[in-house]
Amino acid sequence: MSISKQIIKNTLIYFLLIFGYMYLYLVDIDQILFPQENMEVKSKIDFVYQQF
Amino acid sequence: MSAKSNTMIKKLFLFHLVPFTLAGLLICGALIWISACTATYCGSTYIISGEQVRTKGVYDNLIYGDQAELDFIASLKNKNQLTIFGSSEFTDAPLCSYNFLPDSLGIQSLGIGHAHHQCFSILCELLAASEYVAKSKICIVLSPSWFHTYGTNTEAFAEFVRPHFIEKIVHEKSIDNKYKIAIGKYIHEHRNEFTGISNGMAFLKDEYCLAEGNWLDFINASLHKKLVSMHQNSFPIQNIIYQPKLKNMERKEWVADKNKTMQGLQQTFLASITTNKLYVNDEYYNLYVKDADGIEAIGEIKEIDFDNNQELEDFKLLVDLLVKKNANCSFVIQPINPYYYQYADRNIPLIDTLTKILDKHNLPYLNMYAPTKEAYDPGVLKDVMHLGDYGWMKINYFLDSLYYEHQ
Repeated sequence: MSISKQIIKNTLIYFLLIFGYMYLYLVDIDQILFPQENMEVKSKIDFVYQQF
Repeated sequence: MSAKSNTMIKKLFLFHLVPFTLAGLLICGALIWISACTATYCGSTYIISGEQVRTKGVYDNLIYGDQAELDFIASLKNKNQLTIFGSSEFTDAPLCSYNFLPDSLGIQSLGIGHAHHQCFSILCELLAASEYVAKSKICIVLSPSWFHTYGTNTEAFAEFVRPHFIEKIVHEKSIDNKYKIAIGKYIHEHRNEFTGISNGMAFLKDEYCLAEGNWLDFINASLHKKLVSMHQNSFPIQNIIYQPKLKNMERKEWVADKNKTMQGLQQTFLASITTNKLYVNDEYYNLYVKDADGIEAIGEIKEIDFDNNQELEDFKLLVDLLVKKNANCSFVIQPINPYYYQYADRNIPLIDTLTKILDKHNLPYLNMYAPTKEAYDPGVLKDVMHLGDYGWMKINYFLDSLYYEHQ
């Protein structure tokens, strides 16, 4: 493979990696496609009342 | 440097660094181009209006929907009403201040809280209602046990700092950025303990990461903010407006003999205990203090780490807000039962720290803490750490003398 083709291929790979990082990790693509106005957030941990 | 490593550096530069930079530039160009084409989105306005329903009693949390939020806001907006924040000592007992003051004196009061409701969630609730905090009658019932935890937990945060409150805080321009950053920091540090991050929470988290986060958090927050601004319709943050119609209660005369009432309550409590000499009510004693073999448990107070105490930091932030907003606020410092807890005097530096902060700002408080058995007034607590009728009546007198006696 020629040098320029290799550079273009790697540029494309990095582009997709950064794009994926942004739209899958940083923002949820689901949220963009199906926006939610009122999101109810809960705690994953149930804290049991304890005496100290 | 050998020829081999020279070639490797060349390859790394040519096949990775150059493509990575090109890809980064392409993404930046795309972001700039797309954001230029995207129309600006204004978050919709959501108005919560109606009559104030609760002028007495307690909301154990604020998950009951718009009316609970409206009653909370109305309680702070209504300058005739006292709002009492606390935690596990809040019950439905008739002598709890939010029941006794309205029922016996016609002084409207609302209690907010249950176990784990601590300084940080109280701070956030007050921030959401910040436009009404000035001159508002507020009492915060502090428990020394809060300062032995890692601060407000995420369950309490989610129950009390409702999504609408977060949205209100995001949109409220009069709120100092340091509070928004503090909330963002909390969300960032606890992000894995929530089932998700709402748009408002993400906004505040970004504020913190941009202001105080490390370089990676900074890059992530910058990119996140850019992406959200490009897709604003998908990440709406509503502008919440509360419009409560206030209700006022008729005042009543209270002619009871103070000393007689107090004595009576104390004696009734003491006479009711048949199983122990710890001044703990029988039911609690059998359930929590005595084990299956009938052996009495002993509690122990640990030394407080002042250098790393999140609750104390939250307390300072809370006091700071109340002072800045000129709230008509007061504090109650509850005791723990020194007949059950060994080394109750280990809390003395904590109580001193709290009272010094309150004294510095000239904030009134009722300090009920007793570091020894001799200093403890039996009956103030009904068990090892929860206020009994006698203790509540002391608070009722304190609140009445502070807010209403001379009106």
